[in-house]
Amino acid sequence: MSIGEITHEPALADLESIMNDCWSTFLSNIDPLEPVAPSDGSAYAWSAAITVSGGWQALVLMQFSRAAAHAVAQRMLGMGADEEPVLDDLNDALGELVNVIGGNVKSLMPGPSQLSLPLVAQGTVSTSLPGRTELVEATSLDVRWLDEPVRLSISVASSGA
Amino acid sequence: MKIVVVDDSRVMRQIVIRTMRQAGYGHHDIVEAENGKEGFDLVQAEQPDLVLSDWNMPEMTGIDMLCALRAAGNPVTFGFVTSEGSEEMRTRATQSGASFLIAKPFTPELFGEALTSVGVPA
Repeated sequence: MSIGEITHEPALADLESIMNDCWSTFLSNIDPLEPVAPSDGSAYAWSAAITVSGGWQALVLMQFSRAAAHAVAQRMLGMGADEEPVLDDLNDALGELVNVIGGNVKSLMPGPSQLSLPLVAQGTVSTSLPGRTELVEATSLDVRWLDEPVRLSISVASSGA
Repeated sequence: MKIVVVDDSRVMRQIVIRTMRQAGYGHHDIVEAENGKEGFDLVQAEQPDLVLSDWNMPEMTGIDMLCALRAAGNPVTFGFVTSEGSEEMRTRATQSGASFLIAKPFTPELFGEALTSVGVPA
């Protein structure tokens, strides 16, 4: 980091608060989410990402196991436990969840800035593109929900780029 | 009353409608649109009593839709339901002609307060 350059990142407590608000409001979660050690990357089958640009620039990334992603869609859509969400449901629900979390994180950071539209993918999202600006993880929160791994991470541009 | 709900997420439109029902507003006539362009056309055609709109959408954002409605002389009561609830966003919303901004995630109580503030009966 060069002298005088200031980086901003949300506090872990803020991420916990935002996630718990979303989980209780949209996913009918009662007990606070339990922070845990990071899972191996292979645990995640779905990713949902949104970017913030302008006064603060970051990638907000959520990762879910298959079961967690399906549970998100079921609960946000008010589906029964025996109803299976289709691909459109998963794209929509996971995208909207990262949109809400990204918007709340953005509100805590320096502005003005713009929130992108969300991107949802099966698998993982690479934050390192050869020859391009590399993103480094600034803050992350790993939780266990319905005994499944869910991860929220905030990545910002590497100062070495 | 007729209420237009505008959000590119079908999931969120359902959540908004569900929350309005929980807050006691389920008896109103609710019409949905997927983006600001569709929302603008729907509002001009249907002449609703209230518009509840997301901010960030493809085709046309909620703020652009609001500005277009006002530019067209449409004074419809307008509220944002958005993930971005900063003071900056609230100020922009108010200056553009919105009556309120509900930040996601929201509760039925928050919805009730906002709708009551603009005279929508439960």
